Amino acid sequence: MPVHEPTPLERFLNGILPENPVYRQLLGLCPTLAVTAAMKPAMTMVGATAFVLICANLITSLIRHLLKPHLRILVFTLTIATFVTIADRTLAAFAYPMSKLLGPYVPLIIVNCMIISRCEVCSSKQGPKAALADAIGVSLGFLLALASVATVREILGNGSWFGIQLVPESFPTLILMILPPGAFLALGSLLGLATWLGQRRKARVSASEAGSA
Amino acid sequence: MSRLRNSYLGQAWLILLLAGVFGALLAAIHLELSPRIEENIRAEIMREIPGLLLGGEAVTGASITIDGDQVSIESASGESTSLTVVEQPSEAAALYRVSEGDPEGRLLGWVARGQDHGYADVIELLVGLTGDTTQITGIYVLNQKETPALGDGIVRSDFRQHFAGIATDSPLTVGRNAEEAAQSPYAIQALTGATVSSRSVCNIVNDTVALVKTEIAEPAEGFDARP
Repeated sequence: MPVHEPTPLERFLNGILPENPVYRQLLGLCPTLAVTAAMKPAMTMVGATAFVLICANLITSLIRHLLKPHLRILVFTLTIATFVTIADRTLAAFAYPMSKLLGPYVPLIIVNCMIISRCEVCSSKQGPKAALADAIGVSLGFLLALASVATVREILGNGSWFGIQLVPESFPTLILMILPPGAFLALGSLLGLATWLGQRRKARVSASEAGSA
Repeated sequence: MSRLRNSYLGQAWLILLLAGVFGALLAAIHLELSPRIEENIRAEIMREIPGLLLGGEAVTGASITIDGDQVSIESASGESTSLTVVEQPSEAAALYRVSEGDPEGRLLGWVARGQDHGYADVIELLVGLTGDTTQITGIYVLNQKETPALGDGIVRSDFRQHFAGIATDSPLTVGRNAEEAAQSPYAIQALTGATVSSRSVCNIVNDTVALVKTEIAEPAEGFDARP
């Protein structure tokens, strides 16, 4: 029986919410925790990761018929490492202060399981159209996750969003939220909320199906 | 045919081809971007030199302007200072002679760029020395990729401030805790859980200081070693 491969549109939509890399698959947690003290570094990290993911997915998809099963991980890693180095050097050349702020986390994209999992699950099996749609969808999912964590942390911890002061400076802020424990608190709370919303939706669908039956 | 397919070359040709293509791509990117990156690093060095030689307090809240070899500092109280930074021929990654006002002004100190392996990757430092090279004025971490939350503590000012004011007549050592560090004026307290990174920083400082002292004592051609 032929296996149903998701269409490019399904790949795109799945990456955003149903297969969200952070909230559904718990992948890419290192940058989610480490660079979300403010929106600017979080969005730079999303940009770098999206660039690597799109390039790696496209290249892997184009050479998928040449891949040998036992050597595929080596090819994925080689491809990902190349584009991570390009992203790292480009940031150092054109956004030097941000490159310094992100420190080792840009080179660490090489070991981000989210990217290698997309090469394994999608681009090594499907054509460039599906691979591109998948990469854009997953990147948007990653953007959603990092933006939500960074928004909570920056507003509560600093009273600002994207560096724009939202809360008057006389108001007390929770400094803890921009420190490492704040990352765990924010991610844990948002993960709990996402899971609760998912379960509530599932329960509602089951109830309506039972009612119609 | 099947012998060729099962040989190492038959198995790995794609990886070899990709490695060649990606290597060429990275070389081109490096050639294109490295002058701009070096320019960014030089601007960062110029911005950090006043803090290294004049002390952190002198530059807190100050506005720093860079114009070629000139660095102008306007403090929060409105006081202005001008420094001239001239790179000297050196075996160190870079060595700067810093004088007050113009190049003929009073020698304020030396700043050298040194590097060595840390725990994870290369650590690059700026080491500030007094004009007579008898004291370290401060250090600044230019580049590091040490373990987040452990070794990367070498960039924090509370670790770096241990180096300011230490005499250079004896190499620095690393004390694993406050008790060990208190036993010698040349001992630096290691960061908790990052003894290797702390030791690497001390080794880079020791090597850089020794090199600068040698180069000033036996100046090469074109080296301005005037006191």
